[in-house]
Amino acid sequence: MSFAPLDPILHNQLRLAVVSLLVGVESAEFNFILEKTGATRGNLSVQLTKLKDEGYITITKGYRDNYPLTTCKLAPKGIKAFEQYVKAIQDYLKP
Amino acid sequence: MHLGYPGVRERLSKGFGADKAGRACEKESDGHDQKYSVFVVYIINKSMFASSNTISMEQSMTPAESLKLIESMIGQAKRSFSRMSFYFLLWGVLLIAAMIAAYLLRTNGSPAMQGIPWGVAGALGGLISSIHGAREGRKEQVANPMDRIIGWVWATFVITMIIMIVCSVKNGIDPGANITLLTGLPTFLTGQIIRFRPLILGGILFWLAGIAMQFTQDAAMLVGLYCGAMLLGYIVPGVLLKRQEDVLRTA
Repeated sequence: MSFAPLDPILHNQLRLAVVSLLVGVESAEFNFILEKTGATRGNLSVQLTKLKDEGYITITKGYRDNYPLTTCKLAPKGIKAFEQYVKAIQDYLKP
Repeated sequence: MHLGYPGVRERLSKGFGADKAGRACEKESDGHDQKYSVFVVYIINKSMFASSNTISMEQSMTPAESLKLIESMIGQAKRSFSRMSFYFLLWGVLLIAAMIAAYLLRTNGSPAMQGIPWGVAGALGGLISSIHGAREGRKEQVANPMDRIIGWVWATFVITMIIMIVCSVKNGIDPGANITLLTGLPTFLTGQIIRFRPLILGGILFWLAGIAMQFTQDAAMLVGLYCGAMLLGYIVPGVLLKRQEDVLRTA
């Protein structure tokens, strides 16, 4: 039996954590993702950029009370990729 | 910082999983001394990634680990509801006060005045809820679809309740029993959506109190049933929910 290859973009702990988190919400701020994943600011920033470059998420930059505010949202491409990834790992786990 | 030295980027990415970090820094600081820059990047990356025990490494995961991570993160997202205990406590206290005040006005004063406490409680509760909601909304770091659904459930309840009050007053019927029945609906649904059993039980209690109120005309009994339902359907679940919210926020 042959297995579908796992999406290399999602097969990374932090990126997968971010996408899994965004699946359950409409949008989330950078600090929320930071808190929930426990990642470092630098690493999270890098991985978010990577997800954005792949079209998996959209990043909106704005301001709130004069402080920069970064909001992330899962894009349709990201939802599809996540669904395929979950299906692929389920296939791997089938006895 | 310019990472132009052969092998440095590879070493950083291999050791600390920060391939892109190097590139990001590259853009930011052209013109700096290259040797010094490479050293600074190395130290920053080492402190950021090597000492972290969190989700940050480019390590491979087994499918089982991936699934576990997905479940854990979806669970985190599910628990990110807005704090709503405040509203149950506020409205519970206000409506009990209004019911008691209306009862006292009915027995000791003019029966025509008994609508005033309800109007005051409604206006005061609406104002405080709006201010609190706007203030909390600005602090929220995440937009949860369930929050929106719960908001619509309560908005639907308020609209139906206003229509019911107007119709009841027009027909000369006391709306209390039917409003109590109706209050069970959003309370029960909110409990089911956030999976919080005290609110589910609270909703059922409102239905039972609403049914019981249909069978009595005794004012003291009506006050007792309504206040009891408010206490056990709003205030007690509100206190328990607040405790749970505090635990989740500090976890």
